[in-house]
Amino acid sequence: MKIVTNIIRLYHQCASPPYFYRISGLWLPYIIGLCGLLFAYGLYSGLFLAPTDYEQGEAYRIIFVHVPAAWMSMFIYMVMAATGVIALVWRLKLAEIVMISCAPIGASFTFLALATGSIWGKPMWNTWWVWDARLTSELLLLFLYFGVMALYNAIEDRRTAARAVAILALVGVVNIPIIHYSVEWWNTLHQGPTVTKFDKPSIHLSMLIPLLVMAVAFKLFFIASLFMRVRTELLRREQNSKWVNTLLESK
Amino acid sequence: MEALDFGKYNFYIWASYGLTFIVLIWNIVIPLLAKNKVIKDIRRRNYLNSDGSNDTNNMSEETK
Repeated sequence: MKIVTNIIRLYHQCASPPYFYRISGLWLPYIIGLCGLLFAYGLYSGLFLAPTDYEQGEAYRIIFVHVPAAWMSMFIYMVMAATGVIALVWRLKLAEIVMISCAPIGASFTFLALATGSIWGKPMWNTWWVWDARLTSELLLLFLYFGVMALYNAIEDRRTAARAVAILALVGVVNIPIIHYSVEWWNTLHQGPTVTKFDKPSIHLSMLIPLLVMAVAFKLFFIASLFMRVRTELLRREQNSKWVNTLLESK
Repeated sequence: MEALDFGKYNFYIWASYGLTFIVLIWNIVIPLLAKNKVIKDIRRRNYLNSDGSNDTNNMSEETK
């Protein structure tokens, strides 16, 4: 029993705004530093070290920003939906704030995946855009993010808004497997998966390493940007509480 | 910088990386501006309240 109460106490401690504010503030510089190093190495190995592709020539180098952005667009949506569940079930204020802070970052990465994909499509497919399954479902993801943000801003009370947004985010989860499997379920112009499949990735190590390094860099970047947004929102919502005032007075 | 010359794909590659750069910067600048604004707003409100007699600043809301 003691363990259970300890776990519950830890859980409540981590979710308490002043605690999260303090801890995330301690972590942020390290996350940003590591993220910067990984970006530097990822760009260097992606643009200098990785060899030219025999089929696509130099154009394939867009993969090092396109694929991490696309992965993040789906990953952030899943974080948003998961925190949405926590917000619905336990009514945690921190979960609500994390959920809504995910939306603009996710939307920006979805936009980036679509835009770089389009730029990649022009020289490879000779068209900027086709209405195939992968591209259309990813566009739908962008609209889901916009819907989440619009709904949140349309409802005055922040907590009611958060609950409505959580439900919308959950409904939208159905789109995530559709995006992922779209290249297998339908005949699309978009190429099939090269990394996330059960056999060995069909990509050479010299190209896989910069791709994975960039993917981790993007993930850390998301965490950093998320923490910044969440911290600000915590200050705004808790501006009447003692910890915010002590914090602002001491600075 | 011969190594960074991607021939006929130069435009496409640099457009993609440039766009990535813009999106990353946007994701840093917007939260920073928002943070500064929130801190400024709280400070100003506290300053305006400080000459009033009964301020509610120290009343702690529900913390969670």
